[in-house]
Amino acid sequence: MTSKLTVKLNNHVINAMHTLWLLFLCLVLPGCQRQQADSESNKTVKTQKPVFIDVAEQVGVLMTHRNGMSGQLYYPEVMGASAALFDMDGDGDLDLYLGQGRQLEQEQPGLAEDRGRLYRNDAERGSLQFTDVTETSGLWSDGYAMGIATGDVNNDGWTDVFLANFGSNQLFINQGDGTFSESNQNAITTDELFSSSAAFVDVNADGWLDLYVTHYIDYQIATHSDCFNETGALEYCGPSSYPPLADQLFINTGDGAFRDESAARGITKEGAGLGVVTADLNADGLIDVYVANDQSHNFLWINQGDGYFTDEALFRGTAVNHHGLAEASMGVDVGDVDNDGDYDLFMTHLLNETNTTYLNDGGGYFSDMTAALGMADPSMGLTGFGAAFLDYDNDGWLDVLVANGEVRHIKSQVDAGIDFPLKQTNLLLKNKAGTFSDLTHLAPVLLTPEVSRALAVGDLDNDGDTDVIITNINARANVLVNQMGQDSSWLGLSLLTSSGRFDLGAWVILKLSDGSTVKRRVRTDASYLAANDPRILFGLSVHTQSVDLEVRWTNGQQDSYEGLELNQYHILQQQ
Amino acid sequence: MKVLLTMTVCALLGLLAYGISLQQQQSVKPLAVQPPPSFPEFNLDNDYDPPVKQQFIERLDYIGLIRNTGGNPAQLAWAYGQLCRLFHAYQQMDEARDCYLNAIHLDPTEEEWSYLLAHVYLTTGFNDLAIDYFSRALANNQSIQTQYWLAHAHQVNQDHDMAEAQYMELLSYEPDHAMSLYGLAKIKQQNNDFKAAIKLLNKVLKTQPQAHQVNYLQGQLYRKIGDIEKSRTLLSSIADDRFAKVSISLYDPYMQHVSDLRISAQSQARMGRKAVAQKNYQEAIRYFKNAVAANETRTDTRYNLAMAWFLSGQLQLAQEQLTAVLKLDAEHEKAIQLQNRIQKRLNAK
Repeated sequence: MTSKLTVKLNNHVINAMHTLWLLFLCLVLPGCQRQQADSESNKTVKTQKPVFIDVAEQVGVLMTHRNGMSGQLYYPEVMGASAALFDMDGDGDLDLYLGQGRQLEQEQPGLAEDRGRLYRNDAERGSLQFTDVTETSGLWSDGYAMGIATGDVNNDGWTDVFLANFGSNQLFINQGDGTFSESNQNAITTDELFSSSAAFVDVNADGWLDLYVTHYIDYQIATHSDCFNETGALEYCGPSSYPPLADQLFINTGDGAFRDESAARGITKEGAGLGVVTADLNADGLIDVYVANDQSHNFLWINQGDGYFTDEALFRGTAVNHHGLAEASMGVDVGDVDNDGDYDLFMTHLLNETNTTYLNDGGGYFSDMTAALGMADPSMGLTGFGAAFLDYDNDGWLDVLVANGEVRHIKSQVDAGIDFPLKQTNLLLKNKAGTFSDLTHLAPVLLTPEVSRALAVGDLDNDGDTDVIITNINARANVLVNQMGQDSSWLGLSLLTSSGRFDLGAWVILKLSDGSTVKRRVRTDASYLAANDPRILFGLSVHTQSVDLEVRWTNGQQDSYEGLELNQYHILQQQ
Repeated sequence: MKVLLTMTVCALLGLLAYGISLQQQQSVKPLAVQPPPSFPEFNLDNDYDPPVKQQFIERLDYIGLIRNTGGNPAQLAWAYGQLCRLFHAYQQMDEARDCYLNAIHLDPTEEEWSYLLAHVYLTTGFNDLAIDYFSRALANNQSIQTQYWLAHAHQVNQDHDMAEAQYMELLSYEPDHAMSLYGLAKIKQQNNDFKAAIKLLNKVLKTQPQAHQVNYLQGQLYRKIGDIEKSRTLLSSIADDRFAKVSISLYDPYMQHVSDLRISAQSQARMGRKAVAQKNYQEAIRYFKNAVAANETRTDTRYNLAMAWFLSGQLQLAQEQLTAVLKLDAEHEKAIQLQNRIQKRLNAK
């Protein structure tokens, strides 16, 4: 964002100038010279590596996103496209899928060049490398990409892929040999609406993954109408220009089919849905669904049992901000930010709103604690989309990373002739035992302005820390490799059901020798238009001893595990 | 010799750096000797609504006139201020910030520019600077609204003690100041003194019973003290309609002056939609008329005006406006539907 960026750069200049001035003073003031000499002799040289570096080009992730903009300012052009991290070939490392746009007036399905790209992770001996296997994989998107969900829908142990599009959606079944077959005869692919994010979740605990799809607004190219900004110039529309849509909940019937049971199960409210997370938010043992809606009340679908839902967002304090105002919620994540054993919520918003953090009181009642946590100011002036809780430095506290990019033209960028003038910098907030500070400057790559949207997290190189994918409109995605987390202790877990699929929604409580506990969940959902690494990664700072943990599986079974060795991934399979 | 040379270079670099550093910090501390104000880079966009473009041209001309006729710094500051308010009104915050800084450099005694600059900083997340400039404005002119915003900025900055002290002082002058009571209630909530917070909000509701954020906060507080029924009743009244919301009203002439500058079709139409949501149709008609005047070619604005006429029962005027819409776009679906509704109603009469 220009405003934020300008001032931040000014501050950097000021700091540099002050350093020079102090250097001058040190040279002319004898006392200072002595002090400096003393400190020189004592200090150990410590250079700070950037937290993340972008290796997209080196590792072969070369797709350039195209939003197909034609000057008409069609709504989907500002939405961005998906990113997903999942192990498509069962070789133990994360592969990558990136969604693609295309010209929106185009009536026929996309050409091969308009397809999203599937990159196989061919990392060997610590050297990350991706190979574009789209053409041989059969994972051929033909829509204008929005979100993505990953999960094993047929319990065969292989991760399947759902593509949420502007237009009809697609389901691809993993064949287990590096290829996919498209499942056309399915209720979830007949949806022609403006879908955004999606999440696989077993809402009725029957052992089969169901699917929640968020819908945005009732917008079609044929009925597009122009919108204007405050001064009268042509501008991208906001969600209030079109009617919001209800989301859909598809129940997996176990025979390869899905049935739309949205209305029967209570999913009836309309809202401009963008992000979605699934977790047991009120600690009753049932998985709930939280939806981030753009400029309308967010939904907190509390599972009443067997996958029937009631929206309790307003009553539980998660529909609106602390002033009772609905915000433009985009990305969302759920995690235990204060390490008190419950799930808290974080979501991203427009530049004149703060991003918002709701802390859980343990019983599923939330308070907007954004300002008290130090998370308000850094997000003002930035429009956030993709977002994730991640413990980038493996100190045991969940940090926050946000992908930003405006939705309305930034005048200075228009004047400078920038092609898609909505560029902003991204944001990294470090969690210091429950309060946050802006440490974006520790990863300079995040300060390169782009129109960033989806953000997916996972351990790309299996070195025990969290790496990041960020998609950028009309640009290459960032493949951000973490250079810091692996220096601390960690523990990785794959929680598999007896059929061998990731038990999405299960959670783990890890008990440390000092008596503290850390809670993490198995997920692929969260963020915005993204699917994440389903493995759990615990950062354990300087901890060196093996650890004990408790697993709560989604069918209610609880298991304890003892003496797990650190700095490696473990597979825990339900018996 | 080498050491001397190094020292000299360092000294020169240091002096240079000190000078630049001071210049860079001009947003924080004014210099004794003011630098010449630079004219903010500004590209007049041809896509602006004609009356908006005219607003900018007039203000730019005014600055030019003051410069060319050798006006004094205070006059030039005033001329800049008019342009700054326009940037501010149209939410061009970077330009507004730089422009206000210029005006303040030229005339540090005028509290309005400090006050408005503080608002810019507050809305862009620079609370320390907001506090600084609200304090400067307050030093130049004691006013209730500046003191309130200073307290609010402290609260946003999580300095609750400072905020509380400011609110208390303000309430000693004006015991029913609604926003201060609300601000204090938020502090009580943060301190887990829920009953005290409810008591403060009850005071606000006496004068502003429709205030949306008060009802929301009350609802949350009643839940915290275990009165679930009351909580649910209050919260279920919170409509999911941003235009229907009623804020606590606050007397703020400077910000009102800024808002009043927004004459584009878009901003007038937004005000009109808000008035419709609050069922204030006469006000809505006034805004929509302004919007049509700002840009006569917008079919949706004309349709909104027609709808406002229709809702206020003036069917003839609604029909005339719909005719104008359909002249511009014969397939305007909503206009055709409304025309049919009006026809049915007229036939029924």
